Amino acid sequence: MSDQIKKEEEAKKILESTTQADELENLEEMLKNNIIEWSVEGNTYRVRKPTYTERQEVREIKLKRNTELLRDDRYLYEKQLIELYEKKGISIAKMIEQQLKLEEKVNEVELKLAELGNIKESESQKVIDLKMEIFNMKMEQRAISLEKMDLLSYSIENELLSLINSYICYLCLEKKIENNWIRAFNTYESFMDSKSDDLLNKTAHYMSLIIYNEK
Amino acid sequence: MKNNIIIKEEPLRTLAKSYYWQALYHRVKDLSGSVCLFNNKIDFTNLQLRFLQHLEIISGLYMDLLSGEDLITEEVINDWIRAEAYLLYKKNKKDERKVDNIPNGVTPSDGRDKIVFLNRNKKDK
Repeated sequence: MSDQIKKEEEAKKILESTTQADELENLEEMLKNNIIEWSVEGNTYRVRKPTYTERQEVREIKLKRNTELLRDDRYLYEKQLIELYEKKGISIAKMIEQQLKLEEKVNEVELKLAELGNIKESESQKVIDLKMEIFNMKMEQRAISLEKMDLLSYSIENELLSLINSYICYLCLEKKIENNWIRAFNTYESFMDSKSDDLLNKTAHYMSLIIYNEK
Repeated sequence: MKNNIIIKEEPLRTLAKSYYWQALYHRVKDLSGSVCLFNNKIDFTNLQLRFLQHLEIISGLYMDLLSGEDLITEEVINDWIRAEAYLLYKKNKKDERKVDNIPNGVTPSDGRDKIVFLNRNKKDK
């Protein structure tokens, strides 16, 4: 290996470990509190947990939208979508069955692997093989899960979940103005129309770390 | 707006395994109330709750290692596929022991019969 390649690889390793250290530092910062603060284009923003009144407001919005979607024939509930897919030869039930079978198989292999707990990986090809088998099955499970999620992404339930998530983001995003925290956008519409993708994406990301998805 | 990006568990596990967080976690458990893990004492975030779960799991793994449990080594703790396999194995063993401890002739219940029994006692009185 030439000196140049060695140097490049060392530099890459240093960069990777620095990035990892930065990530951990950011994560530690986010863990400290139930409020996440950050800066975008010279402005300071934060997201926090919704209050009881705000959660009530979200429920109202959800109820209103659900009634609208119920009256609109273009939208279907998950159950109806599943039946429709079934008629087209796509079986969600089979996908779930496949996932459960994989889960059982993963458990079986995990128990075999656990029994080799006292053996070092460097001394046993079997440990490596079992680990690889588990990893591949988990990847397969994930692929099925993503496919299922994609197929059901047009359901009313999913539509409502998206609305709830973005509405909570609008309610809980605050901007710092002269040491006071005020709601960043006056209306939900202005929040959704914001030109700053960076702000919206960061808000959604940080909010997902603060709350569970409210169904 | 992009869908929520979920922080992968690996960095959370790395932090939870660190000496600093493990030591702090044990202090918090020992001195209940006088030391805090986070600035907020209530209203935990999704991230904080996930982190607490990792702290608890890792602490349990180290306790097993220290108490000389079979099939657990530092290498297993450091490898998440192996650690998860060990946790499943341990859970199965615990479940087996629970079934073994049930006296003959008694079938495991979901607790509902206990409620009926208690109500009946109240009526008897």
